[in-house]
Amino acid sequence: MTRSNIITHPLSRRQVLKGGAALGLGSAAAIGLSPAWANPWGRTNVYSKGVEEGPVVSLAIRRESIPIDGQEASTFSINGTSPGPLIRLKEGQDAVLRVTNLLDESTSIHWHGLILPPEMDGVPGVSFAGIAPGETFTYRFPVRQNGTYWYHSHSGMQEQLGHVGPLIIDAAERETFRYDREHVILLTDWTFEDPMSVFRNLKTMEGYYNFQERTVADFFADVRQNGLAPTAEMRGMWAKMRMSSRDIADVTGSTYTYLLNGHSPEENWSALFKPGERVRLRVINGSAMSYFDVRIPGLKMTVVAADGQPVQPVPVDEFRIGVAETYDVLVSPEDDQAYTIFAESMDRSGYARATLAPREGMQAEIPDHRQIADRGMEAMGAHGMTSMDHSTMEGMDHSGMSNMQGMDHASMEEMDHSAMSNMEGMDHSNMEGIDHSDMSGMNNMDHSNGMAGEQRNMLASGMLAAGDAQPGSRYGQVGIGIDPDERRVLVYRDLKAFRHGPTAASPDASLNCTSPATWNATCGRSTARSLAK
Amino acid sequence: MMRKTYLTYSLLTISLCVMGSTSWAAGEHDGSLNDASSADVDRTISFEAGDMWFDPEDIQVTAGETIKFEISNTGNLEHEFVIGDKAAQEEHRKMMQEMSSGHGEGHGGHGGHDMAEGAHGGQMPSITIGGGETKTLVWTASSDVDSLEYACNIPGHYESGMYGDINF
Repeated sequence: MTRSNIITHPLSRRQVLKGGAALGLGSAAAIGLSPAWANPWGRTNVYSKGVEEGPVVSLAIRRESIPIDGQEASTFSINGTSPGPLIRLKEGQDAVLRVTNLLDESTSIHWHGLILPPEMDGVPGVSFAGIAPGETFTYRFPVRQNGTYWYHSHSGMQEQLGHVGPLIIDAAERETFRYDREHVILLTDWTFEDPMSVFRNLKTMEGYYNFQERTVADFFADVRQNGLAPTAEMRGMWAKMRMSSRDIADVTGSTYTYLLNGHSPEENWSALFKPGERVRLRVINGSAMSYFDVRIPGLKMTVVAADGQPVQPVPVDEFRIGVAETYDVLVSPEDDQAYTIFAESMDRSGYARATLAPREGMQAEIPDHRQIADRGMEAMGAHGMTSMDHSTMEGMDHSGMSNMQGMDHASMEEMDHSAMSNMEGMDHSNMEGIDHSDMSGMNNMDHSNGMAGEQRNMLASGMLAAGDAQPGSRYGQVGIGIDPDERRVLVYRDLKAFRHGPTAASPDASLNCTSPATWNATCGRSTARSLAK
Repeated sequence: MMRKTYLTYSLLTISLCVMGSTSWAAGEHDGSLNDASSADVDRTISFEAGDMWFDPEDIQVTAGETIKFEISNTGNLEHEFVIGDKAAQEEHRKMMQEMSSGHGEGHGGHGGHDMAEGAHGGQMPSITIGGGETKTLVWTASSDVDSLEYACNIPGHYESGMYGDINF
């Protein structure tokens, strides 16, 4: 049981010292019943039965009653736990993963994010036939990457019922950051309903689980704030589209219990640290339907990897994690105090929670719920035409828009948004002849959401600079329901690789055309080219 | 003469740091610090700056010693090498973070060269090294402190582990 199992890059003296201390404490806290990643000391209990170390791993899938949030729950378990055990592989290994189906229905495991031969991808009906009851299927593939991933069933509604688990691949070479301790933070959404009936309810009535629709009280509040005509117009617009401005999530906290490593908020699972340590949190959204906004009040999180890929580090206060995404963040708690790991569902109908603390049994304040967001027309791809506020537009440079005279917005009241189905990527670069002088009716315009990306990207010619995102792309914007002025929130544009991929260099420089997994169309072209020589 | 200047300079730095001063008067940046003749230098330490680490991860110095750091950036990103105490490094880091995290301009300006060049007031001996470059920094260890840090304070870099201890 050496530290080198835990940290894979060359060790500093600091890490050895800290690791030693951690191991001492870790073995004292070792229980042996829960999987190691559920152990509050992180990966210090390498003997735990809950971690399945590669390269050879056997997994048994059962239907099993396991308590969730104190209630009996009929889950799909993997080796007796749901969510399943941590599968830990090492870059360069040849993984052999044997999956035995002890159910009375077909099952499968999809290794989410892994580069592997197509027949090992685990998608029934696409890459293989699925795993029949009683059958053992052996997945074999070379492990060609490293980072934080997860696995889940690709059969029926099994994933919704807990057939998921974390998957970590330790790097063969030094990573782009160092850390003293790590914890897996696996987010899932659990329903005690039969997922098929959830599905049926949604088919019957799209807002079935939405208990946060706008009300008469909201209407009067809006009238007070925006006036009667604009409020009525907005309501009319949404009504005409037969859509809801509060359609943020299909399935909500009204049926979901949001879980962190399988634990409900009330159970308050704890991840432990020693003050001064740098802790790597491997955050995985293994939920079926839920986006989460993750933050740890009082701690800066430095995002160092996204979906398993190292990125240039970005210190943030909050990040949104979509279904199936993973983020690795580093935190450095200096003080002997507890911190709440808070993962609020995007529609604010609930949250998952754990505590990052120096000792068991501690907890910190749980942040207040934020209000559910109201979608504006930018959700339809328009550029925030609903409640536009020009006050945040400082620094906007219109100098490149040379021919803007003559655009008449006077007739915009007649604009019919009902047909705005496909307006993403709307290109405003050719808006010749625009005159904004007559925009009297457009109070409350908010360009902060729609125009930010565009203002910088336009060249004097009115064309987009090469490589820039389309106008209207929102890579630079925080997600709906987040106030960017409240705290520093990760946006997709923050995520930058350390180097460009092979495609940025010469087309055939680093291509591996020797195996089916890496072969692509470019290989064909370069082969043809070398044959021609 | 040269050496005396540096000694004064570094003493000034240290005392400012100890006082917790945040008045970063405009100071010298890397250029002029590189001109010391080899006669003034007691020791040369070769450093490697990668993405995101320094090698070595700590050094041992003697008070009054003049050291020439030869820093090769073998990474893809720009890095800085700044000497100061923990508090001053943190102050500098906060400043760089604030400079980089303006919203509304679409988060376009992170980690750019301009920021790294212009951010710190120059009170701490510092040097900015582009990817693939090698630069030198001459520094004289002061005699009234017992520990300092060297660090890269470009947002996220320190947090990823890009710092080390200077032990006296």
